Amino acid sequence: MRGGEEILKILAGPLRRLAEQAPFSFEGLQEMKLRAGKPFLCRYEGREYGFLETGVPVSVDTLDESLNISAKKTGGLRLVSAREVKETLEYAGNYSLYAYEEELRQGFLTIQGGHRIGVAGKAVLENGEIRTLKYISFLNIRLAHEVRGCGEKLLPYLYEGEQVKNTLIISPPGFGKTTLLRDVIRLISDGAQGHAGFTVGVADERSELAACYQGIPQNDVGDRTDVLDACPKAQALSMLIRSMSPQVVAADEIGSAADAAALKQAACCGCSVLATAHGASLEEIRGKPSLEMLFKEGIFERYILLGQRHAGRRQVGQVLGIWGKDGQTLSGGER
Amino acid sequence: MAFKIIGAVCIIISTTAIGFGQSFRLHLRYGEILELKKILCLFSGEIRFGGGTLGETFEKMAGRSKAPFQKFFLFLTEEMQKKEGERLMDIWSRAVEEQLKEAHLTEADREILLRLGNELGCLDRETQLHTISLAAEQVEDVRQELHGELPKKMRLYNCLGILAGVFITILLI
Repeated sequence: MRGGEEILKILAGPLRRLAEQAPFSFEGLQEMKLRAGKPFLCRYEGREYGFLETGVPVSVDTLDESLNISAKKTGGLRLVSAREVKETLEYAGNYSLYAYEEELRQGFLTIQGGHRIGVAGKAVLENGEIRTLKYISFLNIRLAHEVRGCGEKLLPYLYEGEQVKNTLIISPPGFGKTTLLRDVIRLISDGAQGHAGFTVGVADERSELAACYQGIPQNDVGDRTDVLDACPKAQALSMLIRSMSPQVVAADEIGSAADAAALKQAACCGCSVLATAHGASLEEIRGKPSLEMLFKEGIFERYILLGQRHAGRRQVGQVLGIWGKDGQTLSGGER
Repeated sequence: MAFKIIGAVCIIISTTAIGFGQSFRLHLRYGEILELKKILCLFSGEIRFGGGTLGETFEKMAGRSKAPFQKFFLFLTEEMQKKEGERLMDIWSRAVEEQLKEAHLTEADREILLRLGNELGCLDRETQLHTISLAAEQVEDVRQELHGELPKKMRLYNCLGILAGVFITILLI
């Protein structure tokens, strides 16, 4: 694999060698899935690949019947052992899983570079709350990519004069909303297309936007951006507003009522708001009880929907439509 | 006669030096145990309040500890960054073996460190802190025991050194 050393370093030795030998480039690699006793799968440029025992990657989408993993005939495909999952998790957590306790409770950990590792195993409960996870046997490594310039085409819709519109980017998981938000933050912060730069406050709860390492952003989020890393969004937004006087605040993956209330408060303080949320359509998002208040009160002035226009190979970052505050179509239109 | 006197003086000086050396080593061990106690206290504080990873914590501790532990933590930091398929407990025990070989710690002292290394990096913070506090208690027991017997043992080694020299001299004469 070309590039992505920080990702290769977290893989268990044998898997690292497989990935190193694969003719993949880091830019095209989207996901790696490790499940104990199941094939090692990588999503590369929209296709899913497994590895033969010889180390050769084969597309699982076009695999012949004798190798079809859905038929559980994994003969020939390289399986992941429980030990390799454990070793990968140890490396991902820098041998310090206790330091990721809070994140693990939520089912993920974010590593250097902003890459997110989803984990699943057995939940240990205490008074009905998840205390920790044990027997972690499933890992989903989602690679973060900086795509500089991917937000440029949206900028004309995000400004009105010298005012940034409150914007919500919507997409199902894995369609590039975080990447898009990151680039929009950078463009707004630095100033682009004739607009002056704004001070941006980023509530980066999962360290995916700025990918801070020891407090310093590893991704380019602009020269006028302040990042509050690993802090719950609701608290981070109010802290940023109180302390950093941002003109624009940004948060990734809003979902709870507390997030919605914090965004509303930010919007009422005179800050422009940029956010993302999981959803496959505008209607689906409008129907989420926790976010209902934001729509009722017309907080957002722009809705951008990302997704897949046609069935088949997944295309990341495809804009399906842009709508205004009252639902008027500004571009595209498949709600 | 002059040769006999010179020989006797040499013997007494040598055995005295051995005795004082032994007593000094005991003193150094006490110093290292004190340093270890301080390190475990820092370690616990970093885990409880710093929230950093072990790599970050070891790096900080390398900067805040004295020899031989400084070298020990630097070695751990470097080896952990390599991520070459070695478990943390193996890296830790290699560090104890290679970086603390010139330290004055006894096998029992090293055993405390090795047991600590076996339990590091676990899933939850409470267990981690509990392990460190257990090691700190064991180190404190060693310190107290040493503190009680240190003056007596140092005096004993010093006297034994001199007396052994005198005894050998009398035997030879």
